[in-house]
Amino acid sequence: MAKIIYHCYGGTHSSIVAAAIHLNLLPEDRIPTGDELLNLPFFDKLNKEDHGKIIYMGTDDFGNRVYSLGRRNAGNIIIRAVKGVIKLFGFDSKSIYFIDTMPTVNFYMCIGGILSRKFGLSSVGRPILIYGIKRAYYNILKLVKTNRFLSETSGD
Amino acid sequence: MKVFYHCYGSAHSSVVAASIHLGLLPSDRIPTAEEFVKLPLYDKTDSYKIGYPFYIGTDNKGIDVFVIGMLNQEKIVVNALNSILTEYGLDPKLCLMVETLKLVNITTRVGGFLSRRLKLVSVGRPLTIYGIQKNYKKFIYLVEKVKAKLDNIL
Repeated sequence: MAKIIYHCYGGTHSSIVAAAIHLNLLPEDRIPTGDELLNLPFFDKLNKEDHGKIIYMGTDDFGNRVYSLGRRNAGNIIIRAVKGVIKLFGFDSKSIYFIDTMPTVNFYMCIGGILSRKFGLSSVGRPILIYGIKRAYYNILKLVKTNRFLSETSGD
Repeated sequence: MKVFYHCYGSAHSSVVAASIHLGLLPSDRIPTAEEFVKLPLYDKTDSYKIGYPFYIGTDNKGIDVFVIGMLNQEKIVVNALNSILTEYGLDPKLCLMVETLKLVNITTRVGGFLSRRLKLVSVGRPLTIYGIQKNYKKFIYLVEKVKAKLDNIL
């Protein structure tokens, strides 16, 4: 079974939403409400100290384990390090998929995310963030669907 | 048990510390410039390989010694490695992470930037060596501490 890691800068917004779509915690036919987003585990909750932690979100219908990861700007280095070290212990690094969700992040998500996480102004940041996610939702959905297909076909 | 000496680009300080650990560099005197250049990975790692762990050797106690580059993001890379090891049912304590970036002085930093980033090897490499030679005793001390720690664990 594969391990699928959605990663973005902070690991608490776009990657959580992507992982949640993957795990059917969010709808595929409509844009979710603000409450649905805020009720997601770890959504807008992780801080600087959590960066780098690979956080387990759930197991999908095919038995793949799904994670989110905040990797700041060190995505490539983390991918090489994780795959390299796993290989040293005799595991197959090809069964770990890293999916970058940063391309789906828009201006509102950046601003809202920074206000909420970096400056601790969640009351101001969250509405902007949620507006941004709603706008980006179909892009995130598309990203997940494309990659979910990949993991289904080349999973184990 | 595996030891990972980590620094910015896995080209200089981590290679030197790993080499002292394995006896490829002396622990009783400051090595000459040729001795550094002869090391298999010294001043060689390209930017696009940073992050990948490189095997340097196995010491007399059977501990595998690696170098790994983490830029200046060692906290998040170490977090990621610890969580993936746990996910695979391994104890993160099987990997000892040793930071060597703190032993890098400005001379080595400038030399490393010239040699690795700007590809001015002929200017940069001697500078990195000069900088490490000046700090070499600290490297010896660091490796001694690491070995003592490993003896306690084993």
